[in-house]
Amino acid sequence: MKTSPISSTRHDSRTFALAGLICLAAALLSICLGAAGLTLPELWQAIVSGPGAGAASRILWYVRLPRTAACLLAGAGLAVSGAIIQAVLANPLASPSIIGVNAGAGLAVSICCAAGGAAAGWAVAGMAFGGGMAAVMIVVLVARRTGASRMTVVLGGVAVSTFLNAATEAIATLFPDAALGSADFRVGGFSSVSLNRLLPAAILILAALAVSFTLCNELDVLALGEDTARGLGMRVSATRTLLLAIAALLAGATVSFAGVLGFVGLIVPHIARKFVGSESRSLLPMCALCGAGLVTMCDLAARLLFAPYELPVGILLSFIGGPFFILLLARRGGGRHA
Amino acid sequence: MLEARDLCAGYGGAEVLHRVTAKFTPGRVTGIIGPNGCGKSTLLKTLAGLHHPTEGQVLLDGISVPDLPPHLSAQKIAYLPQSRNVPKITALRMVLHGRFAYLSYPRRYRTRDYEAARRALDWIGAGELAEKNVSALSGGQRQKVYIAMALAQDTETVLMDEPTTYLDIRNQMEVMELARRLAELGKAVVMVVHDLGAVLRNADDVLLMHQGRVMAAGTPEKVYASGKLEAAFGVAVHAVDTPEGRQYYCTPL
Repeated sequence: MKTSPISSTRHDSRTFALAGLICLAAALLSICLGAAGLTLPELWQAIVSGPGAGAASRILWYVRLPRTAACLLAGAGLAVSGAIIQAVLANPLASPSIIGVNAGAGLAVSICCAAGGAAAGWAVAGMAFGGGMAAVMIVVLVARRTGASRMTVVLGGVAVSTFLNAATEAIATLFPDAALGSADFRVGGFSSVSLNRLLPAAILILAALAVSFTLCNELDVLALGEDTARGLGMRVSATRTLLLAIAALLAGATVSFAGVLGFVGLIVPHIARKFVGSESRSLLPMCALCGAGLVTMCDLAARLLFAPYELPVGILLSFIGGPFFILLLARRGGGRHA
Repeated sequence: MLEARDLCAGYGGAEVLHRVTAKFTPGRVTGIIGPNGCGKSTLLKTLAGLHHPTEGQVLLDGISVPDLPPHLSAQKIAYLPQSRNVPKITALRMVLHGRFAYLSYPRRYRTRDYEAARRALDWIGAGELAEKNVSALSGGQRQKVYIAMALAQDTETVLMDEPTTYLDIRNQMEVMELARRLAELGKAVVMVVHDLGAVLRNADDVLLMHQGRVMAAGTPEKVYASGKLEAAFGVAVHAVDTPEGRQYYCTPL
C-alpha cells in the first residue's frame, strides 16, 4: 500500500524556506544596521578577526550579535510559548502575556533584582520560570474552580496579571536603583541585553524549544478534547502540566533578559497558522521562525525609526499587537462563543 | 470480554450508577438505551476506565480496567465520547492519533502506523478524505473519521457515546452499519443511542437503564417483550413485522 507520511510536504517546505530566509535577512540587517552601520566587508572582517580587534569587531561581538540573538530567541520563545498555551487551554485568545505568565515572570525577576542587585543570570532565569509557572497554575486552578470556560481563563489571567504587575510596579517604586523602572523592562526591550543574562536564558529557551518540538502529537491529541485524549491513552493532567511548564519556561526565560514583552505570544501563532495550518509539527517551528523574524524586525525598526533615540521594542509590538487583538476579537464575535 | 460487576459510580458523592452488572460479548453490538440522565454516558466512561468506580469492578478478560495504565487500556478499549472537538488537522492525521497509545516518548508515528491509518480510512470507505481538513468535513464524514480513528486504535472493544446524534438519517444508518461491521471483525461494540427504533432494529443486545440501574438486558426481542421500555421512557413501544424484518415505533402513552 502506498503511504505518504508527510502530506503537502513540498508546499510546507517552500513556506519554511521563505520564513527562514526572511528571518535570516532580518538577523543580518539587525547586525549591520544601527547607530554605527557595518558594511558587509566590515562584517566579514569582524567575524574572521574575532572579538576585540577594532571598533567594528567590538560592535559586532559585544553589541549587535548579543542583541540580535536576544531578539531571535525572545521571538521564538514567546511565539512557541503562545502556541502551546493556546493549544493546551483550547483558547485562541490565550498567550503568555494575557494569562499572566509574563507578569509572573516579571515579578519574579523584579524580586530577584531588588533582593540581589546584579543577580546571576541562572538565578534570574530560574526565578522567571518559577514566577511564570506559578502565575499560569493560579489561572488554571481559578478557571477549574469556576467552570473553566474559555473566557474565565482569559479574565482570570487578566486579573492575575494586573495584580502581579501592580506588585512589580510597587517593587520598582520602592527599589528605584534596581533598574526595574526602566521602560525596557516594563514593556520589553533589548537595549540593555548582556551576555550574562542572555546565555543561561538562551540555553533554557533552546532546550525548551527542542523538547516542545517533540511533543507535537501530544498537543494535537489534546486539541481533540479531554475525553478523546484520555480515550487515546494520554495522561491528560500530567501532559497539560508538562506543556504549561515548557510554555512558562520559554516565556519566563525570555522575560529574564527582554523584560515583559507583550503580544508576540498572542499574534504570532495566529500568523503562523495562516501559513501552515494548525498541525503542531508544522505550527511550532513556523511560530519559532515567525516570532524570531517579527521581533528582530520590530527591534530594528525601534532602533532606526527615531535614531539616535531608541524606542523599547515592546512599545512598537504593542502598537501592532493591540489593533491585531481587537481584530481577532471582532472576527471571533468577542466572547459569545466562549 | 468486557464486563461490569456490581458497578457503582458517581460525581462528588452523588451516585449515578447503582450496582450495574453487564457483559459485552465480542462480535456483538450492544445498544445502551435509557432516558436522559439515567447514567448511560457515566457507564460508558467507567467501562473505558476514564471514570473510577466507587464500588464494583470493570473487568476485561479478568483484568481490572481501572487499574490499567492509560496507554494499556487504550490498546484494549477505544472510546468515542459524546462531545468531540473539531480539530483543524487532516483526516489522515486524526486517524493516525488512534495509534497514540502504541508509542512512547518521543511519539513519532511509524510507517506501519500510517499504513494502519490509511487502512482504517479505506475500511470505512473514506480513503478519499485522507488529506481533507476535518473542520471542512460534514458531520457524517467527521463521525466516520472518528470511527476510523477507533479502528486504527486496534482494540477488542469499541465504546461509542451517541455516535448518531446530529446526523441525518442516511448517515445514522451508515454509522449503524459501521458498528455492525466492527462487530463482524470480532470486536465488542457498545453504543449509547437515543433512537429507540434504531437500537432495537440494529443491536444484537440491548441494555435498558433507568435511574442508574439496569432495568432489562438481553436481545431486542427479549427487552421489548419485557414491557419495561414503556416504564422507562413513558411512551408506548410497538413492533411490526415487515419484509425487511421487525420494525419498532413509539407513540405517546
